[in-house]
Amino acid sequence: MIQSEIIASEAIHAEYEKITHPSGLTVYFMHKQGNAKKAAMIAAKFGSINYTFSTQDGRQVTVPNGTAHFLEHKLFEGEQGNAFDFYAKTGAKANAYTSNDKTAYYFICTDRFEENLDVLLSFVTHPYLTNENVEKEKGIIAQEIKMYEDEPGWQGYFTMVQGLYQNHPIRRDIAGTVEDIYSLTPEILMDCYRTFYHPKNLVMAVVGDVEKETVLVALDRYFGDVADLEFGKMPIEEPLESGERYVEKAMLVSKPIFHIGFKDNETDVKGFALSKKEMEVEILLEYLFGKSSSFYKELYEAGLINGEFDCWYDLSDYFSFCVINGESNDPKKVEECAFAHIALLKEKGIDKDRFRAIRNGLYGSIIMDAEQSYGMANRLVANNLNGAETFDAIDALQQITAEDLLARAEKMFAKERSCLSVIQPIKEEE
Amino acid sequence: MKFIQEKPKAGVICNYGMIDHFRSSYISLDFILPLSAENATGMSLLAGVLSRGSENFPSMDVISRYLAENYGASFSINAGKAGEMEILTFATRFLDNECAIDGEDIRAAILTLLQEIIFRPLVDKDGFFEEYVAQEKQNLADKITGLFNDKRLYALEQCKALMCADEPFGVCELGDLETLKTFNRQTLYRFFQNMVNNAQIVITYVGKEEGDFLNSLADGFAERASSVPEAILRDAPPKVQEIIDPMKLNQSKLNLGFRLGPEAQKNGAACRLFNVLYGGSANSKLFMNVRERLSLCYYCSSAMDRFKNVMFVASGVESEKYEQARAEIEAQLKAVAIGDFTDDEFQSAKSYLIDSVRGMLDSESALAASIISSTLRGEMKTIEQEIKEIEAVSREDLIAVAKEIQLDTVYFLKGVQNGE
Repeated sequence: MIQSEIIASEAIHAEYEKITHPSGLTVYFMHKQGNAKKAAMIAAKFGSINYTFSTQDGRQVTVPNGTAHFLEHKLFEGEQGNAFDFYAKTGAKANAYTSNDKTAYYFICTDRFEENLDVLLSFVTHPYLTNENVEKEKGIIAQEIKMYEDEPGWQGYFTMVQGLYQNHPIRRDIAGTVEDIYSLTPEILMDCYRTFYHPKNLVMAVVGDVEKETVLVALDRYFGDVADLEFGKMPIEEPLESGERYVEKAMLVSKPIFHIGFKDNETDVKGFALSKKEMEVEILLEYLFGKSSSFYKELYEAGLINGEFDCWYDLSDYFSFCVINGESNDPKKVEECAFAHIALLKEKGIDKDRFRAIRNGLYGSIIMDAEQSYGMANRLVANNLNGAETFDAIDALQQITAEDLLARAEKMFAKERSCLSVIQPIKEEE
Repeated sequence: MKFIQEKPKAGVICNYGMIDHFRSSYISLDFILPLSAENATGMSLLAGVLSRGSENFPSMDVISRYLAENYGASFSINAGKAGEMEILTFATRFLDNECAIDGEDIRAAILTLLQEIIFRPLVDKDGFFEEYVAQEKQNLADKITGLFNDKRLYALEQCKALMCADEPFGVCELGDLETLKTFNRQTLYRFFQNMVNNAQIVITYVGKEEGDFLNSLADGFAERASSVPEAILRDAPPKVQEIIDPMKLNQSKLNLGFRLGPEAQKNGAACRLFNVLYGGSANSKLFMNVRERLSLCYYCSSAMDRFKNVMFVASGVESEKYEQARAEIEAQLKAVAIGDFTDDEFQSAKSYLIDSVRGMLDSESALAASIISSTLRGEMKTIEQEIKEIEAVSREDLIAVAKEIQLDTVYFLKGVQNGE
């Protein structure tokens, strides 16, 4: 039996449907009349943090770093050839990505949606792993790894994450090292596939000017009745404090690059509470460090930061932290100012006018983002995997009070749970 | 999609790209000057200084708060190059009035902001504010030296600069440090006034509201000589220029610069189609051979500047694979030039390009960029017309483009470890 529920938001005049397929697969469907682009995404709750697990036949398996990412590459290959060959016939743009906690496959097209959906589902449900094609992929992924090794932005971010967390598997490199991936075999990859690509551990979203029936018919073709499985949450023992307060690395850059991380002291929030928390943090980040903040103005005018500045929130049901990132000749001073502004907020409270303006801004951004087929599909999938419902954020936004924000700031921003990472310039050796 | 173009006065063009399925709109205003070190540096510096504020929006946080109040509207000022033009773009995306909770006129508020920033900048009797100019000079200097941080981009910029060392195209779109030194608050203000009075101006709206509201911006400009700067087109030198730069890196970056021929200029659709087939998609010759068949790289792709009629191929490879990767990239070009591609590959390239063009209907900024490009070429095409042109391209048209392509410069940023 297909179960389905309509999730509507009156505030933004939009709705989508959440469907549970008999196989256990959760599917989101959002009809966007008039959109040229049609997007479909399917994701497994399997990322770089899932390095040790028990298989369906009860073996405990530990896999090298980079395994989830390697499998992502390999699911583009089938007995009949490369998935790109099939997408190419319709002109669709297809890709995939692996993060700490998920692997997502998608396509975006303007025509022949049904054929493309068929390609997506057929490749994701039919792994084709041979010694030859696994070997062939190693050269490609080795170059992907080396590309990231030379990217200061990624290195600075990842160094920060490793300083912020002590035991958490988020410290594991998503792509692994070249040595890690050279140890991979088709057997290891199949163990992962059988464990994590069960329909109950997958979620899918379709957004665009598409008929729902098309999607349901395709699902029945690829997902039959399978044995029900329970996917529990992996236990993680992580102290509240950050492992390091300061970390650095030297690279060929023109100016120091900093990332300041703030680790949340609250995990295990789900559902509406998670959406509300996400909105609280978004408001706080703009309030404290965004381009409308006095922090940004003061530091920019003092030449401590420049236009290369950003702050964001990384959230999953396994981790939650904020990041401030930019370039500065004095990253320690930037960190000091950040904490001074956090202290000031706690002391002075929330300015009602700024709070209202930021809330308006977020509301507008949510409507604008919801217009995009791919962006919306990605959001529906990511929120579901985190245990949240996308439109809850809009209702949550209306409910948030100044007191909520102050309480959230206490939980989110503390010195002992922060880490400053700096990429220092080295001079090129002749 | 409906496309309306108005020319309220000489040198000033207003475009309206009408699409009605989104609840947001986009307005951009472009100043266009010939590409030169002075214009690139001056416009890049203006992007910084003008974003600091105006008479009624005297600082950056005031602008940001105004944007937030107007339902999260975005606003940016950017300088960049297209062919041998330098373009200073003021771009904004905002929610349509129908979504305003208290019936506010968001579009009017955004037009006010644009008028303020462009026509009422923060100045005193000597020019822009000393403090702002000094800070933005430092920020631009950081940006120029910071190009080095992203080695992929850096290697590509090096290739362009070396290939076109004595052509305007060789100028970096951010400008350069030497020219930056020559700007102060007075000279920058004079540069600004000159730009406002003499640059070509293209104002573009994408959204669903009918009307001639862009005139509220166009009215602020005087008429000027109407002429879009044209790029110098050259052949490749008889001997390919090869430059190898060692640097302490884990991955080497390989860049090849090519000159396109007259066919590419004449038949724009065939030229774009060639790029998709050769290196512009995940089903291209380069992707399928250099990456998938030979496992030499993670990325290998081609991109064109159709104003300058040039193409660049970029890839990240092992140092010792330089010869092999370069040979394969050149061999794949030869293969296309002799027609060594299947009808399936040809049809796939068409589907891919048509899908990209149709998909622009869902991105106001991409649609605006395409409208502006057409405007600068003196063409006026709807998405539907573009698709028809792509459908009409034959195999022979594509081969004709490929045959004329000449390799000009190879730039290899060679990764070496300590002691090598």
